[in-house]
Amino acid sequence: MARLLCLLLLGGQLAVVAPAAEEPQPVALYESGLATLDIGRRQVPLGYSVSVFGPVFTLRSIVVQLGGELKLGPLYQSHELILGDTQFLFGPGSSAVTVGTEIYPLTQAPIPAEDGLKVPLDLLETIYGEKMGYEFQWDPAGRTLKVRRQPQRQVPVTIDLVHLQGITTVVLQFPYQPRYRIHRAANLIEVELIGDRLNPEMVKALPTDPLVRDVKLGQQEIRLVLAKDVEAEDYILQDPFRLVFDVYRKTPATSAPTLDPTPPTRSSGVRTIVIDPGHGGSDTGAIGLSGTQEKDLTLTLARALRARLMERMPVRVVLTRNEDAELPLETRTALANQQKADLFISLHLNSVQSPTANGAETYFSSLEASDEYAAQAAETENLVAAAGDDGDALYDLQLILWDLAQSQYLAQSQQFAKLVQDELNDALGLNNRGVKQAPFRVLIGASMPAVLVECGFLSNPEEEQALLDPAYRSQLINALVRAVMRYRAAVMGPRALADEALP
Amino acid sequence: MNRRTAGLFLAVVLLLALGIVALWWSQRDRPAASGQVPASDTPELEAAEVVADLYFPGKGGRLFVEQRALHMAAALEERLTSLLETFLMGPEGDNLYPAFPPEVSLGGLTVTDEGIAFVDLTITGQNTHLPWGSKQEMLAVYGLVDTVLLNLPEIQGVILLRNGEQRATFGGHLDTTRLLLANEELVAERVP
Repeated sequence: MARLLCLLLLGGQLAVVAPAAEEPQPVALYESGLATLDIGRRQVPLGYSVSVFGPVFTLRSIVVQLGGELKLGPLYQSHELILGDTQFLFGPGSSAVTVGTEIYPLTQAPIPAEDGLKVPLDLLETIYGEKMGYEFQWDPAGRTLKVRRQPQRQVPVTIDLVHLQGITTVVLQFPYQPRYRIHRAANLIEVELIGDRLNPEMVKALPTDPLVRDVKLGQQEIRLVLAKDVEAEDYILQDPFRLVFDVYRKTPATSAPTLDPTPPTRSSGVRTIVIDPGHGGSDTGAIGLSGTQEKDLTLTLARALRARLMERMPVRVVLTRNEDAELPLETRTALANQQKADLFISLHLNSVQSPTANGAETYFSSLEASDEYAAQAAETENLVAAAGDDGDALYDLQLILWDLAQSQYLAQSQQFAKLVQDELNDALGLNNRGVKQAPFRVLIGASMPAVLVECGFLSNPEEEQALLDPAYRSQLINALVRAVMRYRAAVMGPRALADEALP
Repeated sequence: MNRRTAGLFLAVVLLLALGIVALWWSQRDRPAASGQVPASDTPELEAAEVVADLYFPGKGGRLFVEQRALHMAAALEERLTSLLETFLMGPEGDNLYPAFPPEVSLGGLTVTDEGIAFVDLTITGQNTHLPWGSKQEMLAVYGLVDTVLLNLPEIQGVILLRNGEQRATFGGHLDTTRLLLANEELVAERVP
């Protein structure tokens, strides 16, 4: 039910974006009148009403006291509240508020009234709680809405910095989502915590980096001092909460041969390929009987594949990692999305307990499980409560959006997976284990055709030895290159390929 | 009405009142509506020996059924516990393999009213990464899920937790942030 609820909420949001022509259905109000807005030393009158979903309050009175610019939004009956550099969009008929590009569900839609729009408590908490550190407490007996500053927390933060393929990724990891604002200036990004303080004990020394000159930590802010002529994009990863900055040069350095000298743009063909060497760091992946570690062999294969692809066709090839480093699965996919890749290839080596299993298999994403999840969840309305996670509704919304990312490329992913499997079988005479579907985490969020190739079984002693042989690996790489060539020809057509070959 | 007649009338009224109170007292614990069966009429569920199908990895990267006689308790969670503890101990047959390594044990479980089983597996040891290929992970996860769902029809799906938390994956490949359902495609048709 949680996921279906999210879909409904999403529908509600769409109603804000493209509102229906008719008036929203009026909501029955059981009580209306004047309450008191108690802001510490000040008490001012505040219009309120109570619907079946709970109390709503006159927003304009609160904005006058707490700040912000309230005006009519660009859409029918929508309202816009601007607080600093953040814009909140909401309106009657929609149980959701849009904050920038994020959507947050509300317990009830705002209600139009003679004295202006009345809004529920969770909208006030979203606007003034998350962004300004206020908390609200409604006393129905005393008809008083108390507003107080939230108690200051010591927020632990872990800062990581990694430079890969001309991009420096800075990850600020928190145990929970803090309230923060991002300020940008020339060569400087500041992440300011609102109302909370940073716990500096958790910060380790960072490596020297060509794009991020320094990371400074204050009591309430983290400053990234950037090199000249660089750009930075920020995005969020969840579980745990991470604020990520990808920093890259506006015009890439000529010394970076793996990067195309043009900024990433989604092309109509196959011009950018992201190769993901599976595992890394303390995550060894499978280990062969003679000690071969999957993480090492996938990196060797990925580097060779990148070199061979760039020899054979005009493509930009980016590796998710080019060293023995641990990289979360979501970051690998996010990198491919950020690079606007046209193809994502995750390279792995297989293992099982039985030493006789052999052959290659190619996977593309399976979304049936999540579809069935939605159906199951519809029958199990209390699943969220049973899981004991209050954030599940929003989490499910993200999961749906995450699923949607790959779902639109399933047919192309399957097409490419079949080409890969055919080429591997032909070139290596491997046991054809076939093209399969599985809900592999690294594939799910990819916004492009994406496959995971299991190149052989390290648990099979013969295949392990074959994979350690450079000549065998070369055949394997050639098979993958041919699969990419055939896929490009299918997607772009022979004429486009011929044009591409012209000087 | 003389005094004697009035006293007699009062005694009759008191007796009637006492009778009504006694009747109400005797009826108050009975079900108010039809269709409810008193608890004492419910047949006692007893523990019984049943044959369960356990799904273990075998040759060629497939799951194979090993039938085991288990003394199953009456309550669903106890049956699930018994089933999973036996599954985690591994197969008795020579040609099959344990799905999970010995450092993985059952940390806890709960079943919601809707039939969703939350199964928490505890991993002890320094390295939190299991040295698994994707196939090994699929056989382990779906071996467990198939063992649960194909033996206990009351359970609709499994949420797999690791050391008390729901993780993105259990072993680095399969997405375990969603409800896991039975996967019979991995099951071989015959015993190895």
